[in-house]
Amino acid sequence: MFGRLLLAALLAATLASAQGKKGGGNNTNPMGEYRPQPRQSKFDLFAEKLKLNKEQKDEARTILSAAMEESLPVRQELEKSRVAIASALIDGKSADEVKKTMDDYASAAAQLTGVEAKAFSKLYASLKPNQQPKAGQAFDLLAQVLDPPASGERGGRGRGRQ
Amino acid sequence: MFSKLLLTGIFATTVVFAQGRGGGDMGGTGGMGEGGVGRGGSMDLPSVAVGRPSRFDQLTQTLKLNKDQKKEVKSILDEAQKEATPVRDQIAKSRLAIGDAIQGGKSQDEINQLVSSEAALESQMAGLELGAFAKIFKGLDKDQQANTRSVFQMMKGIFNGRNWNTEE
Repeated sequence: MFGRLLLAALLAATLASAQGKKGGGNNTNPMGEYRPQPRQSKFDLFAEKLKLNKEQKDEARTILSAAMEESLPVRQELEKSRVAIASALIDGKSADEVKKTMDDYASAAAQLTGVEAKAFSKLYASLKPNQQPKAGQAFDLLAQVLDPPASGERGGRGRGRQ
Repeated sequence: MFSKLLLTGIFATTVVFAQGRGGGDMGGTGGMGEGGVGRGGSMDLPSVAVGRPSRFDQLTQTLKLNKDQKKEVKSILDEAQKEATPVRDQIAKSRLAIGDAIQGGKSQDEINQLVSSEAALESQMAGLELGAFAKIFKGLDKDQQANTRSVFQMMKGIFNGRNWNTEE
């Protein structure tokens, strides 16, 4: 029994030590308080995937800012549609009525993806030839950059993005 | 009643969300973006996972679920996760196809077609998320139902990963 306890404690200590090293140092401030390592931002991940240089990152920010602005009313539509779908389901509306709310959602989702596709096309056009192969794979990341969760949320719009 | 409650909350959230972005500022060098700690609000803002309770714990606490309700909620979400998994995979493929189409210089019509297909899948996923929410909602008493706004928000993207109960 004691042996098991000891083993468990050793394992826990080893894991804790490994996690501390993962971020390249111990995560404590000068007061000795634990400070979690910040994760890479979604934009950084996106920029890294496309191997953007500093100027390209600035240009990408400008393009994505515009896309964010453009997508805001569409996101509001999506939220309204989600409420409409939930209400229809809770109120036991007919299949046709539920379908209509889901079609409205699909229509708003298509608009949002359209905004993302347009932004991605612009970004793609600004890439150098050596950055372009496999750049298409970064499209999925773009949605994450443009779709940060609001407070209290974890997920985005419901895409296969994790 | 349910719609009114939710819409009020959602619009409040959306307005705060938009303000957090500072009118579209991406938080470049020297801005709030670099090296900050937080969630959302700016594209450059890194996030930190600090011992968050699981989704199930959050649901249990928010709704003050009893033992039977806990069992029911878990079963609803497990079942919906199973249904959502193939949809999630299709969405990922669909988005990859859009990226590839842009990369391959396909026509706008072809891209639009791919965008529509992806949107239909998104709608299907929303249906699964909100279907699960509706089932949970119906199993709650009146007091609990009045407290479902954050649960409604939580449903967005809940099946994006392999396990609804964990963040990734």
